[in-house]
Formats: sequence, structure tokens, C-alpha cells
Amino acid sequence: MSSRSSSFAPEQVRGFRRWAFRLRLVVVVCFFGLASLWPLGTLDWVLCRRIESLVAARHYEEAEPLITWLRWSGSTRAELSFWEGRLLRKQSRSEEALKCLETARTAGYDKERVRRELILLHAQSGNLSPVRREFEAMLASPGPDASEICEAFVNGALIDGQTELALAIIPPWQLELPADPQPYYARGRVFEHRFDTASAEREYRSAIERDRSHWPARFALGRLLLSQKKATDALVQFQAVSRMRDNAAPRLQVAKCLRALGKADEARTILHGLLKYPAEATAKSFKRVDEPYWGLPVELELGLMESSLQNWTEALPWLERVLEEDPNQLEVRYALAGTLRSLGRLDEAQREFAAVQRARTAIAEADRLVDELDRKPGPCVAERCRIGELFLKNESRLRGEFWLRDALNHDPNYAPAHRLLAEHYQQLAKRNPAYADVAERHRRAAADSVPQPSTAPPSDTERVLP
Amino acid sequence: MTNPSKIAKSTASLLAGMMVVCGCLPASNTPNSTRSQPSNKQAAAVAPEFKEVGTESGFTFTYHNGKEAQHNAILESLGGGVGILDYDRDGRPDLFLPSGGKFEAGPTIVGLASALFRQVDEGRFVEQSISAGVATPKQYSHGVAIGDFDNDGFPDVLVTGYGTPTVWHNCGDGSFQDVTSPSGMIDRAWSSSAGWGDVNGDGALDVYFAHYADWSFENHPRCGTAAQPDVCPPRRFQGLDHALFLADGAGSFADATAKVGLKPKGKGLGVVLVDLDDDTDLDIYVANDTDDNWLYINDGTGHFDESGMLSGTAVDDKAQPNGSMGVGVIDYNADGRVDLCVANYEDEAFALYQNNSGGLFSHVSSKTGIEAIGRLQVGFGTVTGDIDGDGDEDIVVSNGHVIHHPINAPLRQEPLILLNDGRSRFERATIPPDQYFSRPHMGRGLAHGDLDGDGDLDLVFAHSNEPSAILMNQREAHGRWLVVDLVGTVSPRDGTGAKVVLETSQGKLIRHAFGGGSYLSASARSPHFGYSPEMIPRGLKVYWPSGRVSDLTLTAAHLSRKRMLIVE
Repeated sequence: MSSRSSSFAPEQVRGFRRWAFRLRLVVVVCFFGLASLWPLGTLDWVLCRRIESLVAARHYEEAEPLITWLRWSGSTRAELSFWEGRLLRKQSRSEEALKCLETARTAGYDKERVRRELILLHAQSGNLSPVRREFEAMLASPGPDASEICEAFVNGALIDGQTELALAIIPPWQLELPADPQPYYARGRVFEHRFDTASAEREYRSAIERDRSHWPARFALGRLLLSQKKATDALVQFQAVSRMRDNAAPRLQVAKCLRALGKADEARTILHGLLKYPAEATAKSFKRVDEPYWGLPVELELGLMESSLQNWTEALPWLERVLEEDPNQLEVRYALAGTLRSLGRLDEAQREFAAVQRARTAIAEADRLVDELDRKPGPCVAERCRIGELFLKNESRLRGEFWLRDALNHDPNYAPAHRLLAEHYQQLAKRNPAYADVAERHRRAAADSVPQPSTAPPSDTERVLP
Repeated sequence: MTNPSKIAKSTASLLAGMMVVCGCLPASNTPNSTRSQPSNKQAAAVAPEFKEVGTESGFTFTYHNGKEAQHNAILESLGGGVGILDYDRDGRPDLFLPSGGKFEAGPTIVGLASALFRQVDEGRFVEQSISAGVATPKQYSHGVAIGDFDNDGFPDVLVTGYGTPTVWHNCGDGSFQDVTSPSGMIDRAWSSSAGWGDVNGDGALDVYFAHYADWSFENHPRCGTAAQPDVCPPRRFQGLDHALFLADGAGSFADATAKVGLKPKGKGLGVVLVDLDDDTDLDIYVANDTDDNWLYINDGTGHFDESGMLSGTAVDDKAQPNGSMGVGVIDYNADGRVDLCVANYEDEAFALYQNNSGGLFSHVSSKTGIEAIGRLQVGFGTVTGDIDGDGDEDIVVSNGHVIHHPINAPLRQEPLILLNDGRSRFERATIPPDQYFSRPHMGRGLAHGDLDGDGDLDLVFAHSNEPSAILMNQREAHGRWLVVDLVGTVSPRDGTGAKVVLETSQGKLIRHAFGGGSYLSASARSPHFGYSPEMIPRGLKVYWPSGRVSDLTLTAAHLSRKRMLIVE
């Protein structure tokens, strides 16, 4: 006999049994109640409302299983396709989103709403010009989608480098939905783009105050803090973001923080773990936090870390592999040159240093052109494109892409910029297919545009890295 | 210009209270390996403690940059430095400070007179600018370099700035004489830092001038916005060719720039002359603003091969040139090799380049924790030394912005102390509020030396449009100290270029008497050692630039004095 049994009076035991019976009864009634709603589609309707609210709150990981379950249960509800399309759109999975929205339309869902969703799909990819008028009309009568409209157009404006447009949309968006973290996050991106890191940090923190699980805001804040070498503070943010399901992107940042804090062994363990992640999950993770994903970011970090720790033998294969994938990364090539030098492979090191030097000459030319922009009249589209080309081919894709987009911002039909962006995205699409459609769009735009003269006379500074 | 009576007088004053060791040994062309074992000390438990000297000390000085004329000229952004020298050889270090300048109608650029403060008693100063003859306004001034160019035992002063520098010859009687013209040191370019050193091994101090940019009122673009005009960034200007003047030992100099292998065009702000490849001759490292830094390796004859990129010291770890300002010499990991630390602009990490021997360096700012201090500082004056008396070398940096309306970083910035934990990692020292280090300043020049004779390292900060500050280190009771005064006989008389090795029970500590260093400033020349109670000093070796070696077995008597004199 246990002492516990003796501590309850018979009345209490009977009371527990009564409650247990009632609980079982409620479960059975609920089950049969729900089962009776099934044929009427009421359950589908209830779950669609849940999906709608989850997608609106950007809780994609929670929305996805509900959609999967409804599909598995055989739901053919047109609305479900619409919400799935919206979810996919917000995850920048354009082709899949398009298919879902088409399915929703053919299945009889509200055609006007589908049409508007397709406009948002166009807009958020940065393709704003064709849908600018539609945007104004949509804002005039937003219906239940005010936040979606603002978000898509602000995202598009940011992608397209139209920061003024983005900043113009954000205040009314905030007024309309003061609890929504997204406009704060978006404004943080604009400030960051303008190197106003103090303001960017303030906006990201405002977004996080409104939603502690706004992963992109937390990720962006962490990235900002890490760039300021506040590794301990950044680590807190990245560890929080690591709670999301596909967490390769924040885990990579956690490793960077640990390295900065002198915990190389812990960083190395994480990085080797990340190498085993499926590429698709890694890409999805980066997308979830609005971070560009290209090249081999984990291998790159391993190469740079081992090189900085003077583990030359360990660093070498990672650096070589990263450059094989993307030869235009100046930082990596410089690290490779130093590694080869330290391994006593001086001839190879000399060649790499020479390549670094040539690339830096090209970058100096780009810097000179940047300085001249202020003094030159007109939009200087050719110069902006040339700057983009020089950065793209000699330093970093990110910086090159920025300037090429800037050129298109001043002349949306400038064929050389479209051509360079098409090549750039085509290269990225080899590893991340999500870039294929944007590459194709720029290829078409380049072909459709009136042929332009070359951005600048050919020179020996053009594409100097091997 | 050498005056034998002055030498005798100065030597006598040096002998007083000091241990004189004549250590002339046969010259050795290949100095013994000085590789030492890194010690495994614990980080200092006690934070650094400095006491700011108030106006009651008699020291009041402000560098003026002419900002009030609202020209927003880049000339204003450089600021001024400070030099520590014992100009009257009374055993108490004195201070020399360039005053800057102003803008008058025209606009014209007008220099202000430099200032000389004599330390008359421990921590008490009297300005002697007029009686010493340095109160005459010269060029719009920035920097000061101290060196005994005529080997007469009295330190001379070189003042840099916009226009021809001023060469002040120390007459040995408490006064200085402007010998710029007769010395032949005519250099009309805009000079920032300068460094003395015997680059061709003839026993006379030569001088390297870091030149800045091609700014003038004829090349004065408007920058910033209409509402907020600002100083233009350095990228709007071309760098200048730097200069090297060779001395004949009799007080005359010849411009050897074209003959020694210097690179063209760099926006030089800092320079240090020190033996970086351990072959006894002086190499030169130049910190350039937004351009590659230069590392000139001396071939032993005074001809240089620039190997910044190949050596790994030209750029940061991202292959980007930094806005480099101050430069310090350090052996941060006690491996016996000279490492370099460079203070950089906002959004760039301070650079620590670890010397891997053979003229090859690695950028180790991340690995050593230096990057963890953040990236908001705009660093200028940079000095290294054992601040806390634990045997390893720490770093002190003076910070302050150059533009009037920075977006992210503050205009006035806190200086910082990076404490070495003895295991090759640095951490920013935590300073209680309301002390100099916890208040923001418009920091520029910085120099150190044992000002009050208690053995530890004191600091002097120069600011733009803000009074300069003397900070007396209060750590004398916590550490053990040794200052080594050098007198060269075949090598330059003030010992520039010598390497001093303190052999202890826990390995070797190595310091250099280098030329230049920091930013626009000159620290006390004598190598300074701090060591913990666990480190028992056993011997001292001086490797002179001539190739001679002085070797001394240390006794308790030597160490009790905290200061000793070694004659070549």
C-alpha cells in the first residue's frame, strides 16, 4: 500500500473520477461535432481562418503543416489554394505561388482578390514599374489586405533600391496597423541601406518589441550588432532566431559570434554540423530571415576562421572550394593568398596577391567613379552600371548588385545593367534555383531594351580576378 | 654643432642617481636569437588607474585648428600631437606641443606658436616657450618628432605641419634655435607625422616625413549638405609623395626621396622606424589614410623595398585599405618579434599585425579580441607598453571624430585602454565614471613616458580645441618597473634603433627604441619594462644598430633603482 492512496478520501477519489468522465465526454462530443462539420466544409473554413491569421502574422512554419494537413485530408477548397499562394508569395517562392493562385482562380475563388495577389507578387519581386498604378488604386481601397499591400510594395521598393518610395509608404502603414512589426523592420532595412545604423537598430528593436518572434528583425539586429563587433549582444539575437525550424542561417551567425568571442572550437562544431544540412533547407532558412543566399557561406566561414586562426592547412581546402564556386570574392582570395604564403607556396601566393592587387585597382576605379557621381550632372546611368560591374566582378556580389540596381533605378530600361544582373542571377541560380526567374526576367528585359553602347571602354581593370 | 661642454654636462646629470654600465662588447653582426617563451600570466586583477593632472600643475595647453572660421577644411581634421623630451637633461621629462593654426581673411593659413613646458618638480610644469625661443609662430603645425640629430646629447625637435617643417636645434642651454634653412630640411609638402632613425647605418639620425593630401584653398571642394556643410572625406583628395632626408651627422640633411625606393602618393598619417625583420637595420612602416599602408624593408644600406601587400600589412583581413592614423610597436605575444598595431577609422577594426618572421605578418585583430571593442572609434594616437605592470604590453588609443556631423559614431569619443591578458588576448579596461578615460574627447596625439619618475608609464593626450591632458599612472605600487636610458657611441647617440632584451625567470621581454610611432607624437625614447613579482629579471642585453651588443647581469641593486643607463 502506498502512502499516497491513503492521503485521498473516498469522496475525493469519486470526484476525480467524475471529472475524468466529463472530460472524456467533452472530447467525444468535440470529435463527433467536428466530424459532423467535415462534410459541410466548416472545418476547412475554420482552418483557413487560422492559416490566414498565421500567414498575416508571418508565422509560416505554423501555417505550413495546416495547409499540408488540409491537402492530405482531401480539401479542394479554392480559398485554401489562395492562402497557400499567399504563403508562398511571402516566402518569395514565386513560381509555386503563381501556380497556387491560378488554381484558386480556376477553382472559383474571388477573381479580383487573386488578381490583386498577382500584382503583389509582381511588386514584391522589385518589378514595380508595371504595377505602380495598380498599387495606387489598391491603396485607395485596400479592403482587408492593407498590410499585405504595403508590405509587398515596400519589399519591392527595397529590392529595387527605391528607398524614398519605401519610406513614403511606411508611415500610413504604421498608422493603419500600429501593432504590426513589419513597417518598423522595413524602415530599419532602409536605414541600414543608408548606413544609418543607429536608426536601423532603433527600428529593428521597435519591430521586436511588437513581435518577439519576428525572425527577420531579430536576425537583422544581430547582423547589425555583429558588424559593430558587439558579438555578445548579437549572439543573443541569433540564438533566439535559432528557435525557428530551418535555422541554418542563424546557426551560421551564432558560429560567427562565437568565433568573434574567441570560442573557435564551438564555432567549428556548429559549422561542421551545418555542412550536413540539406541545401534546400539552408536556402529556405536564409529566405526566412530575408538574407541573400549564394555561394558556400558555411565553407566560406570555415575558410576565413581557420585562416584567421593560422590553421593554414585546414583553411586551404575551404578557401579553394569557395573560390571555385565564386571566384569574385576579394576577401577570400586575399585569405587564400596569405594562406599559401604561410604554407611556403610562394609562387602561388604571388599569383593570388597579384590578382588581389589587380582587383583592388579595379575597385579603386569604382570608388573614383562613385566620388565623381556627386559632381556630375544627370543620372549617370552608365557610370552607375560600370561601378556595379566593377564591384560585381572584383569584390562582392552584394555591392555590385546594389549599383546595378541603382542604375536601373535611374533608367529601368538600361540593357547593360539588365544583362549583367541576368548573368549574376544565372550564376546564383546554379546553387539556388530561386534566382532563376529573376535571372530570366533581366535577360528578357535586356533583350527587349534598345541596345545600349557599352558602359565604358574595355579596360584591363575589367574582370581581373581569375 | 656638437658642443663638448654640453655633453659633459649632460652626462654628469645623467650619472646622478643612475647606475652607469659601460657595456661595450665586440660587435656582432648577427645578434643572438631573442626568441622568448610566452609567459602564462593571469590577467591583471586591478584595473588601470590614472590621475589627471589639474591646472595647478602649471600645465595648460590647447591645440587650435581654426574651426571657428567655418571653412570645413580637411586641414582642421588632423589636429596636433605631443612630444616628451628631457630638453634640459635634468632627469625630468618635459613637454613640447605644436599649437596648430587659424584662418585669416583671404583666406590665408596662419600658424600658431608651439609650446614648451619644463617639468620643474614632480608633476609641476612651467611654460618656457618664450625663454626657450620656440614662441615664434611658424607653419600651421601638427606633429612633433624628437631626435638628437647632431648627437650632442640634447634632444632636438622637429615640428611638422602645412608647409615647411621647423627644425629646432637644442642649444643645450635651455634654448632652441630654428635651423630649418641651414639644415637643408626644406620640405614644402603638407606633413603629418615624422620619425627619426638611422636608416643607412652611418650613426646619424635621418628623418622620414609622412605627407598627407593635395588640399589647398585652390582645391577645396564643398562637402556635406547645404544645411550641414562638413569636412570633405580624404578620398576627395590625392595623396602626396612622402619624403626621406638623410643626415650627414653634422647637422645637414639632403633630400634622398628619389634614391631610396619610396612609393609615390599616399595619405600618410603615422610612421614608425623599427627593425621589423630582425636584421638590425631600421625598416619603416607607414599608416596611410584610405590608401594601402606601406612596409619598407631596409636592405641594410638605406634602400627600401616596399612589401606591404606581400607582407600582409597593407590592408585589413578583407583586403580593404583602412583609414589608418596611429601606429604602435608591440610584442603582444612575447615571441620576440615586433608586431604592429594600427588605429583606424570608424567602422574598421583597429589592426594588430602579428609578425610571423621573414617579413610576413598576419592580421589578428579578431583572434586577439581587439575587434570586440566595437567599430565606432576613430582612432588616432596609439601607444603600447606595460600599463598595469604585469609584464605584457597593453595598448592605449586616443579617439575622436574628424567630421562635424557623423551619423553613427559620436563626435567626441572615449579613449581606450586595451589590456593584454598575457595569453595574447586583449580586453578593454573598465574605467569608473567621471575619469578621463570614461569621458569623451576630441582625441588626437598621444605619447607616454615615466613623467614623475616612479617607474610606471604616464600618458599625455593632445586634443583638438580642448585642453591637453596629463595622466599620471597610479600603478607604481602594483608592478615592478625598469626604464633603460641608452647612449650610443657608434650608433645614434639617443639610442634610436636599439633593441633591449630583459631576461627574466619567465622568459624574455623585448622593447625597442624606435623612431616615430603613435600619431603626430613622440613618446619618451627610453625602453620601458614592467614585470610582475613572479618574473625575476636576470640579465639585460642591448642590441645596438651598429651591431654591437651590451650584456649585463642584473642584481637586486640594479632593479631597486627602476632606471638604468647603458652606454654603447
